[in-house]
Amino acid sequence: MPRDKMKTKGEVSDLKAKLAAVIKTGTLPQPKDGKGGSTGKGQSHAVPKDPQTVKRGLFKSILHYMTINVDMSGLFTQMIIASTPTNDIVLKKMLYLYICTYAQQKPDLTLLAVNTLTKDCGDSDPTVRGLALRSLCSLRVPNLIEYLLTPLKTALADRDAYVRRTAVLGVLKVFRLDANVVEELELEQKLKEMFANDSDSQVVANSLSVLQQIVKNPQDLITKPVVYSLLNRLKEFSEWSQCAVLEFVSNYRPEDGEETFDIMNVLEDRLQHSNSALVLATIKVFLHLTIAIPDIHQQVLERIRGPLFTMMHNKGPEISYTVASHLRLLVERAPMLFSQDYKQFYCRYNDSLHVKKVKLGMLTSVADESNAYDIVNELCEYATDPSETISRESIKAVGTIAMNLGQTADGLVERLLSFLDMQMDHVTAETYIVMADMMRCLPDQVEKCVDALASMRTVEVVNPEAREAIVWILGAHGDKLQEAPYILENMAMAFDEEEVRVQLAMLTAAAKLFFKRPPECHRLLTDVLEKGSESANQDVHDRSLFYFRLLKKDIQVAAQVLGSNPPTTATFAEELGSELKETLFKEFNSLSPLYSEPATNFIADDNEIEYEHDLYDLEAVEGNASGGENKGGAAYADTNLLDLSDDLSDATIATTTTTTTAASNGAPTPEATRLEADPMALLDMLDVEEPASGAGAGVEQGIRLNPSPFMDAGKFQQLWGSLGAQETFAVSSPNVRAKMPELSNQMKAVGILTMASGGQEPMYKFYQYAQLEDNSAVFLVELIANTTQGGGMLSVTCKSDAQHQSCLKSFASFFQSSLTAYVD
Amino acid sequence: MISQFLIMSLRGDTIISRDFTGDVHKVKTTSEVFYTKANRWDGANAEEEAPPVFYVDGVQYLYIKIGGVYLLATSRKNVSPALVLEFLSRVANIIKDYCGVLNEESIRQNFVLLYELLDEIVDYGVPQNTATDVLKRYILNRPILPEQLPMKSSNLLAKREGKAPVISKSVLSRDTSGKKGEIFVDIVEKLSITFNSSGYVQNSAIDGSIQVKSYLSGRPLVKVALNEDLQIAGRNDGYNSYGSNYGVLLDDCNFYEHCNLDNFDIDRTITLNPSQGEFALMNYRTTREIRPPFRVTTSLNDSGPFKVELVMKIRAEFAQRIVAPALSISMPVPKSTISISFPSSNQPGDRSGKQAQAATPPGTFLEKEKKINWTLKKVQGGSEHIVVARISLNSQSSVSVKKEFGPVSLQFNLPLFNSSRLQVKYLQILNQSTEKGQNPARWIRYMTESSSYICRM
Repeated sequence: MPRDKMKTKGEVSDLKAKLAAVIKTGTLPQPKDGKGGSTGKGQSHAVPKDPQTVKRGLFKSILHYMTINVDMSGLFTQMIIASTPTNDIVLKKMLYLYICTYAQQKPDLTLLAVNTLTKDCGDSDPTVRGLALRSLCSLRVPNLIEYLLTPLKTALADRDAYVRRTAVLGVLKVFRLDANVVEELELEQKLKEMFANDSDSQVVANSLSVLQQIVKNPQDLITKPVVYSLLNRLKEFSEWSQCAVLEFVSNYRPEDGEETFDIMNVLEDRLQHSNSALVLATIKVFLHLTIAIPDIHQQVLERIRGPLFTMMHNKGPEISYTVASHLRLLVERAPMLFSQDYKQFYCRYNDSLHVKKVKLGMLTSVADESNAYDIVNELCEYATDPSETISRESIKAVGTIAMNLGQTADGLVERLLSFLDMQMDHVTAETYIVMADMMRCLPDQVEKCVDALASMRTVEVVNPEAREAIVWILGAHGDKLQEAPYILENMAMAFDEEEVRVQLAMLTAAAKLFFKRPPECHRLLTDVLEKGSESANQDVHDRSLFYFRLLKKDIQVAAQVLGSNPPTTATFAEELGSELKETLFKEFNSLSPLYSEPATNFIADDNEIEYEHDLYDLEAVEGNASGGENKGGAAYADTNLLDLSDDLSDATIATTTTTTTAASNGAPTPEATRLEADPMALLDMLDVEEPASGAGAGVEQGIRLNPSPFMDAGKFQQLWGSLGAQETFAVSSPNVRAKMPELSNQMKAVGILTMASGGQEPMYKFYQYAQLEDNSAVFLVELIANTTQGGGMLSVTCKSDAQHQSCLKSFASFFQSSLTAYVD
Repeated sequence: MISQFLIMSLRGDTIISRDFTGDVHKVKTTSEVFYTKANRWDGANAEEEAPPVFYVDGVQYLYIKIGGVYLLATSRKNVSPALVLEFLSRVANIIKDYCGVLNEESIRQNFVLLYELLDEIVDYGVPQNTATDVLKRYILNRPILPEQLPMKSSNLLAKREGKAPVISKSVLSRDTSGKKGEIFVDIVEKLSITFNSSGYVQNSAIDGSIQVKSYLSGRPLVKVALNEDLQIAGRNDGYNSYGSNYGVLLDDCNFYEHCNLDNFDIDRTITLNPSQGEFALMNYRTTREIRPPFRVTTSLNDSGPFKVELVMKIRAEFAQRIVAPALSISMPVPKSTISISFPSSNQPGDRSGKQAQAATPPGTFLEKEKKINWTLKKVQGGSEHIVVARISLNSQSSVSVKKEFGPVSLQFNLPLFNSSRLQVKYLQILNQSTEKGQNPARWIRYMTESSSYICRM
């Protein structure tokens, strides 16, 4: 209702006047219908007489404005006066909603309401008691905590379950405001009693979710008796609570196989429940219980297929997407098991785009010799899909299936090439891209692919990625294609208009082809090298000069470097690593399978979440992570880790290529080189500077650090979660702020390298690592710098594995003294 | 679990918002970030819509789109997306139960009631009570219901039109008709069929659901009996007589939380004490062969170098007494299409010859999407329809251009039609007073809808 937004100011004072009138006289001021009708909708014709209806109408209008973000906090006092004393619960509810919304803005005035609230906590009606307690605990004003402790303690022992449920969650609300209070009052103990003994299932469920958040080590809650008692009364719980209970149980490890079967028998009928959340929670328990018993695990997978397929289509598009994503995870783990079910993954006309994408992924995974023909036929139908995304993904899928099947791919390659006949721009473009990949994977198919290009005279596709692919094909296999040099020559004429990636590809292609067909390509090569060396782009410029000098220096060496045949690859780096798959499996029934990312990428640790404050925006400072230019891109250091790892892996590939070419001096066995590429060498090439005085750093503390330790972002993340030993310390100094920019470099000098860092005033975060000189122990460090608290504070957490507890101690003290030395 | 809950209009206005935990940014920021993402997911690619679950700066956004509004939840935790999304659907159902319908207007009208409901449904982000009739105990506000015809006449009207009446009634409404309430049991089947270019069924599936809408007070015991020849694959109940191949065979099914299946494996009856409001008693899936209700044949002929004529024949292969209120047909045409004309076709009349079909309305050419649409009204069982389109192209017609035609997709709903033959044999309301004239009304209705009904060319 845009009209409402227009006239806010006037409305506030109008409502204020009306409230005042109601307080005084119990009715509205003069214009009862006529003009005043606009606020109270639907009641203009029957002018309300009694004060209760008038007040309700007014309160309703106020809440309406509150909802559409008009600031109504100015009416705080009037609201409270107008509604006290009252027995009208409808009015009370509206008042409490109002108070909870504005309490933080008006903590002083809220005090006025606290009295009423505490009184209501002792009301004879349990509904009122619950309502008052819920609101009292939701005020989120730290100063008012003292007023709510007594009612809260009383309510925990209330006769009525409704009040106890509210009270249990009240404990968590208080905990978020002030964890110490919960400890002082021994509320945790009280909750544990309720969790074990309360007769009401919702009280138990609430206690469970609160305890999981307030106890230091939630893992300790999981004991055999607890798990058994929860499972035995599982059906008393609401379906949501059942999900919470099952999530809790999924962390339980039974003592023997018999116990496993007992639990599974109890839960068997949950698989035919209509709530997909409950079914997924049950599946998680089953999968995790049986992980060590392969044959049972397989039976479980077979058992859960049916329910998952049913849920994939029976619910709305949102659930469908969730279920499909979880199915994808299972399909990727055990494609064989699903190879008969491939028709379930066919796209439906009315599936959402995202569901279709997930299904295409599953079709690719399950394709084997028995079903590939059908699947590819189906995929070919999608190639003409009105959605370009689906069309391209389907073509990619056909290519991937062909590459996965390898030897038996003959027919499939032809299907792929037939896409070129469709004469649809995006189809053609995608086909070229897939072709280039395929030629790298399947040397047997090169001939066929080249034949398909034989009729090509000019490159008509516009998509730069596709142009790059064609140029690569022409360069690598131009010896088999009569027209190749001329096509490239044509393209070279407009060299400056191409995108950088195409230009780079052209330089390489021209150089490669030159050694295969020198007379025809001589002009082409000079042409592109000349144009490239004038390019403003650093990469293009450098590569041109590099080729130029190489050719000039020693043509023989150049021939060996540039003229060799492209290596055959079996897999591509983009595919999910098995480690990630394992993590995703552990995080089944969470957001991770939807994003195909581990939770550490997108979820902050509990202690990083600040309640009631805008989260600080972390910015990438180092590592040239993508968040560098884009402020909103990476709010977490964790996210930076990911970005960094992407950069690293990209860089690794790039470097590997260089290594390959450089190494082909001898017998060129590129695959081997690719695999053997020494990570240390790679890191060196990545410009990781040697620490200035690295060697022998930390001698005085009795530890020797490796000056250039090796670590990558993925490993860092994994280790961070798993390392057992931990040391923490803090260093405070007024200079922290000034010393911040150079911190990474200074620490590098003593052998502690930075993996990722980020932050903004007043918080900075650094993730660092170091390694003993003999490489026996790795130390990971999280350093949080706060530049406000008393001039500045560095809080440091160091971790290592449990065997090196003592080393960790000396490392920590070494680090502490280095830090102190630096910041003081 | 949930940090915030919002209901937003498709235009981006926040209609309802609650912040439970305060660990995410302000609600206003939430709505802005969400709206931007939901509308511009991928700047480069306009067709991409935001997935139902995504994250921005460590805040998880989960939403469903229903009744022309977004129901949105945010979280800081690695929540179970199924749990949050199921919960949001449940909230949507509760709104429907209490406000009669779920749309922007009904939410705006009833926002105080909805705040009251939300207060009971979820506390500090943890789902509490979501059973419609238990909630009634705590709810004091009355709903403002959409203007509607009195129930009875609307039902009659709907029946005559062959449409299932839409029940837009609040569980809070007091029934004045003197009846002891009523219960609706709808067997709704969604049909997905793919025909290959020769007209054979290549792939088919039925996703069915037994939907119950109960307005019975006091949770009486209700007994629902299904076909006795119902077989469910993989269910170890000793009931399945695999020898006999007739009968209704389901691939899989699931059931409502509060139903008693003790007798299901003996005589295919389910007993339950239904909560008021709407829920799915049973969902099922079958990929068994089915008789498709519609068959389509198409032919494409060159009528000049730049012209193609399309003739499409649609046959309704179901009983004559059944009428599809509307059948809409849509088909993509090549990108090079300039214009399409729709000559009035000579109707051959239906096969029974009883009455000539009304002339087929011309199709419409959606130029932007490059699509043709036809909508046929009141398609009776046994009838046959022909539609013709003359398509002008700006490039030579060729094999590859013809590949851009199709597939044809059909959308329809067929009341009284049931593809799987799953039936509710009877519906008994037990243990209730036997006063005369006090019997609750019971309705059992069948409905088949198209889900993905595709004919390839």
